[in-house]
Amino acid sequence: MKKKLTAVTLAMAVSVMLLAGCGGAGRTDAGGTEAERTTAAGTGTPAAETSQPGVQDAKGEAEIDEGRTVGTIDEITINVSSDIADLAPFSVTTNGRQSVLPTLYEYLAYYDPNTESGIRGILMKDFEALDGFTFRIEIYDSIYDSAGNHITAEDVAWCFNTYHELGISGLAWLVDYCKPIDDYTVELKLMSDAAGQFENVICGQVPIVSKTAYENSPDGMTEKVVSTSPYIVDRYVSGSQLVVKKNPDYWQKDDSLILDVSRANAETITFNIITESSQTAINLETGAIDIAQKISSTEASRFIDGEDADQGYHVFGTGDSNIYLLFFNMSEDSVFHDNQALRQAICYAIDTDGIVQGAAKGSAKALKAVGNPICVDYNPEWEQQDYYDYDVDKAQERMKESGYDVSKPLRIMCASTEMSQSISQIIQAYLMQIGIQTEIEVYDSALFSTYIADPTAWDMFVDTRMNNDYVTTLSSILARKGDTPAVNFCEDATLEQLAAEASGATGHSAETVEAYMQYTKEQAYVYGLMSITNYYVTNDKVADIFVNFKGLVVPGACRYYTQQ
Amino acid sequence: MIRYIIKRLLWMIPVILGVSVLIFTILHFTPGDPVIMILGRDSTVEAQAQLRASMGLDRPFPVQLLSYLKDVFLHFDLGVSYNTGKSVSEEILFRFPYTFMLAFSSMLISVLIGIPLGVIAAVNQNKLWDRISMFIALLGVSMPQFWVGLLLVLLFALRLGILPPSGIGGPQYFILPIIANAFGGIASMARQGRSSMLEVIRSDYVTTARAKGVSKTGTIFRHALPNALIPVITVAGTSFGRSLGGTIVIESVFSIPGIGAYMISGINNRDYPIVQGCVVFLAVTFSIIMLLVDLMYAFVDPRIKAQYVSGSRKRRVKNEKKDR
Amino acid sequence: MTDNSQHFLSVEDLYVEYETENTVVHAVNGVSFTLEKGHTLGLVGETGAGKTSIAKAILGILPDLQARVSCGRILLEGRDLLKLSEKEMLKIRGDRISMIFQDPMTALNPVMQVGSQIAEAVRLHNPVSRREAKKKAVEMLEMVGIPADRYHEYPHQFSGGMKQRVVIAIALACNPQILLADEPTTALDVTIQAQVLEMIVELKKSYSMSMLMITHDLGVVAEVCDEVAVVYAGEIVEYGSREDLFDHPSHPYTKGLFGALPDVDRDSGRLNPVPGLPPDPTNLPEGCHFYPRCSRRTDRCRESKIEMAEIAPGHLCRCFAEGK
Repeated sequence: MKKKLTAVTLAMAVSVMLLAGCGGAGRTDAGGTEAERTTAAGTGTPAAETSQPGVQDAKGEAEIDEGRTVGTIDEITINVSSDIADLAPFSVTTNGRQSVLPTLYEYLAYYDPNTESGIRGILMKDFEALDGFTFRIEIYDSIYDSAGNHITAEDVAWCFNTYHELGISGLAWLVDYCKPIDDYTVELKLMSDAAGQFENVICGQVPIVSKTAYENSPDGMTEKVVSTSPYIVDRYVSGSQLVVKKNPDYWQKDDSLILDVSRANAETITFNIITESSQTAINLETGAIDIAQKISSTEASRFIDGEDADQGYHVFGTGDSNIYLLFFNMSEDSVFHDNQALRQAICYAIDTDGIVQGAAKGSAKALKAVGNPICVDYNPEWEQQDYYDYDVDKAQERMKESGYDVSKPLRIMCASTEMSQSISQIIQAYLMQIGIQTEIEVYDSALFSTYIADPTAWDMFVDTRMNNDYVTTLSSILARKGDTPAVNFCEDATLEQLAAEASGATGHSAETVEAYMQYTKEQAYVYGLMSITNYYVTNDKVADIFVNFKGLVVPGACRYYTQQ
Repeated sequence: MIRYIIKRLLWMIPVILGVSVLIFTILHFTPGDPVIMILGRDSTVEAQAQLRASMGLDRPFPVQLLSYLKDVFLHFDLGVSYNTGKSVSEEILFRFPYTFMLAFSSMLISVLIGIPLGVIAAVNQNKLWDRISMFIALLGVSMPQFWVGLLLVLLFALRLGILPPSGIGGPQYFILPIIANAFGGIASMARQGRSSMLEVIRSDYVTTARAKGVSKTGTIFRHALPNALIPVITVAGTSFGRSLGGTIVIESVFSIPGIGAYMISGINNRDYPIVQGCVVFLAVTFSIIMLLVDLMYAFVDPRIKAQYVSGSRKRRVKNEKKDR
Repeated sequence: MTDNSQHFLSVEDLYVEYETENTVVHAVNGVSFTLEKGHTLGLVGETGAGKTSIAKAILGILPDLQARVSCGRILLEGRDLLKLSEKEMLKIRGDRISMIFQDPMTALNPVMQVGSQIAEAVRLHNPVSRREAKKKAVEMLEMVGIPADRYHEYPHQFSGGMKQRVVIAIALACNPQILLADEPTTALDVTIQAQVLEMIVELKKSYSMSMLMITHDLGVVAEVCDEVAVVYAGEIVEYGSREDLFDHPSHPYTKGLFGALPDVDRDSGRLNPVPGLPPDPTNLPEGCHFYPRCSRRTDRCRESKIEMAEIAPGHLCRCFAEGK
C-alpha cells in the first residue's frame, strides 16, 4: 500500500511539472520572424542631427561624461537578434537583415524633419516633386562603389525597377517605373500619392548598387557585397557573424554633406547573431558585445537600477515603431457589425494602463489614438482627450445599449509571442468584469496570418502594426483598398473618404488628419492599446547611440569615447 | 557481407522517396501561406497572387510534387529558400558540420562517461556507488537542456569569465554547448549500461568463467562487458542519429548556426524548400548512420554477423543444389 | 567428530543460506560427505533440493550478494577451502577443481571463439605462451571429439551436444583433480546424453579424476557412480554405495524415488510418484523434513533433528524407521 501511494504521488508530481514546463512556449524566438517584421508602411522617426528626440537616456544621466573626448573607436561589437540570412540588397526583409542593411548599403536619402522637405539626401543631391506621384531625382556625380564602379542614373533606375519586378517586398507594388532622364537624373513614378510613401521608398526600401556590379556578382551579392557604403564586408560567417571594415576611400569627400547616419565612427564593426534573449545581456556583461539592442525591459532593469546599475553601462530607451492594436471583426456576420455600442463598451472596459503594467511591466506607453505618438502628424492634444479611458460604468451602460447576448463567448485571436498572449489574457480579464466571456486562440505566425484573412475565424484579434511616419499611413489597412478588404473587413464609405483625403500627399493637413482620427475614434473599429519602449544598453565605450527610424542601431553613426 | 551492405543501400532509395513525398505533402497541406510570410500581413491580394504565380505555388499539387521530386532525385537540387534565395543544399552543407560535431561530441562524452557510470552501478548493485550513479543519471535526465545551458553560461562565462557565452569561433566556443548537450545523454547511457550489465552479469557464461578461475574484474571486463556493450552500442548509435535533428535547443541558446536553427526558421516562415531540404537530408544521413550502427553491431556480435551473411549463403547453397 | 583430513575431499556440516528482501532460504542444512580419489559420488535429489548450492559452495562461486555459508568446513586434502582468500581460490578453480553446468546453450560466452575460451582456462593456470595455450586447446577439442579446425568458431555455430563437449573441454583443460558435474546431460537429447556420458566416464578414467555427479536421473547414477548420496530439503537422507542404494533403499524418500520409476515389465497405467511437495525452504519444519510426505511417520519424527544412522557398513540413513 505504501508503495502504491508513493508511486501515485510521484506520477502526479511528474505530470504537474510537465504541464508547468509546457506553459513557457515561445520563449526563444529562434526564427526571429514574429512581431518585428517590417510590414507595409513606414519611414522616419525624426532623426535629428545630434541628440535624437525619441531616444531617451533611460537612467536620466548627463549626456556626455566629463573629461572624456568623443570621437572614433577602433572596434565595436553589437548583437543581432535573428539570423541575417544573406546580405543581398533586394531580398525579403527580415529582422536580422534590417539590422545590417543600413551599414552595408546606402539609400538615396534619410528622413530629417528639420528640413523643409523632410528629407536630406545621401546619394541624392536634390529632388523635385512634379505632382503627387512623379518625382525628379538628381544624384551626385561623384558616387563610386567599393569596386570603383561609377553610379549613374541608369543604376538608380535599374535598382528601383528590379525592386519592383522581384515583387518580394511588401512595397514593391508602390513603384510604377523609374527611368533615367540624363546621366544623373531619374524620374520616379509611384502608384500612390499617399503622404509618406515617397520618403518611405527612397529612404528605407531601395538600396542603391551598381547594375554592373550586381550582374557581375558571383552570388547576387548574398555574401560579396559591393556598394557605396562607408563600410565594406570583411568577413561573413553565415548564421553567426558579420564583420565590416571602414572604407578608406568613401566617395563623399565633402564632409559637410555627410549625414550623421552616414558616419563611420568605428574602424571595424562586428555584428554577432545572438538568438537567445537572455544571452544578449550576458554577452554584454562578459564584454562579448559592446551594444545590446532591443533587449527586454526585465533585462534592461538590471542595468538601470539593478545589480549592474553602476558598472558604467548606459541605458537608452525609445518608443517602438510598432504599436499594439485590438481589431474588431467588422464583416457582415460578425457581432460587431453595426453595433458601435458593443465596440465602445469593450473599449471602455479595457484599461490600457493596466495592460502597460501587466504585459510590459510599465515599459510601454498607453495609446490615446490609433496611431504612434512618434509620428510627425500625431497631435499632442490627443493625449489630453478621453480615449475610452477606463470606466466600468460607462462600459456597462454601452453594454445595455448594445443589447448583446452575453451567453455567447467571443474569440480573441493572437500570435504566439509572449507579449500578445499576455495582452490577450489581460483583456480577457477586463471583459469578464462586464460579463463578456472570451476564448483566447493562439497561433504561430504563419497560421495567424492566414486566419486573419478569414472573417469567420475570429471576433477580435490583438496584433502589432508598424506606424512610424504618419498616423494616416495606417489607413491603408483600416479601410478597403481596391480589391483588398480592410484588415478587419470594415466597409464604411465615410471612413474611406476621410482616409483618402487625409493620406493623399496634397490633402494631408492638420484638419483632414483631425477629421479622420476623430471619426476613427468614434467608430472604434480598431482600438489602440500601447507602444512598447525599446531598450538599448551599451558599455561605457559608447557616448551616444544612433537609432534609425526602424528602431535599429546604426553602429557607424554612434558616437564613442576615444580610447584613453 | 558486401551484398548485405548493397542491399541496405538500395533499400534507402524507396525510404528517401517516401520521406520526400510525405514531407512535401504535409507542408503543402499545412495551413499557413509562405507568400504572406514574405510580403507581410497587409499586402494586397494582387501582390500576393503575383508572387504566388512567380513562385509556382499556384500550380496543382501533383504538378508541384512531381517537379520537386524531379529536382531532388534527378538533379540533386534541393531548391532555394523562399526568403533568402540562397541555395538550400549549400546552406545545409555549411551548417551541417556544426550540428554533426555537436551531436557527435556529445554522444562521445555520453558514452565515455555514461557507460562506466552504468557499469559501476551494476557491479555495485544497491550499494553506495549504485545510488550515486543513478542519482547523477536522474539529474541528467530531469534537467532541461536550455536550463543547463544557461546555468553553465552563467557560471563559466559570467562569473568566472573563462569561456565565451555564445557564438562560434575557436574550440573554446564549443565546450559549453557540448557539455549542455551531453548531459541528458550521459544519463541515458548510464541507465542503459547499468541495465544491460545487470542482465549480463547473471548469465551462465559468467559463472562458467568464474568456475574457470577468472577473477571478478576479469569476468567483468573480459566476459560481461563485451556482451553488455552490444545493446548499448545500438542505443548510442540510434540516439546519435536522432539527435542530429534535435540539437535545436542548444543551437538556439548558444547561437550556433546548425541545421536545427535553420529548420525551425524555415518552419516558422513556411519556407518550404528549407524544411523539405533539411528533412530529406536528415533522412539520408540517418539511414546511413543506421547502416553503420548495424554494421558495427555485426562486427561486435558474431551471431548478428552470421545472420547478415546467412541470407546470401543460403541462396548460394540452394543454387548449388539446383546445379547438381 | 571424525578426522577427515585423510579423505581427499571432505564436506563437514555445511549450511548455505540465501537471503532476499525479508526472507531467508535455507538451501543446505548440515550436509556432510567425503569423496575419495578416483571415486564418483552421485548427489541425487529433486530440483531445489540444494545440490547445486553444495557444488557451488565447494568451488566458492555462490552469488556473493545473497548467498552465505553460515556454517561448516570444506576440506580439500586437509585445507579448509572456506577459509581461503579469494586469490587462493582463484588458483584452485579450474585447476584443481572444475565444474560443468547444466545448460550448455548459455554456458559459453557468445562473442568469444570457443577455442579461445579453452585457451583462457589454460593460460589462467599455466605460465605458457599464447601459441602453446592454443595448441593445448586444440588438443582438448580433439579429445572431446571436435575437429580442430573449429577452433575459431563461435558458440552459436555448435549444437547443444557439441557445446557441452566444449564446456567439458574447458573444465578438463588444466587436468583438475575433482570434477563437479551439475546435471551435465539433463538438457541434451537422449541419444546425445549417452554419448556425452560415455565420454565423461572415459575422461574421468584417463585423467584419474574424482567426480561429484549431481543428477536426478537414477539411470545416470547406475552407470557412473561409485557412491550415492540422496539429498532432500538440504539434507543427505541416505548415503551408501551404489549397490547399497539400488539393492537396499532404506529411507522412505529413496524408496519412493525407486518406486516412482516406470517398470518395463509391469503393465502399470500410472506412475507412482512420491505424494506431496518438498517443503518450503524458507520455513522448514522441525525434525524430519520428509515428515509430511512419509507413510511411516511417527510423532517422534517431528521432535528434533534426526541424525544419520549406520544401518549397514558404509550405508547410512537418516530415519528411525530403519534399523529394524
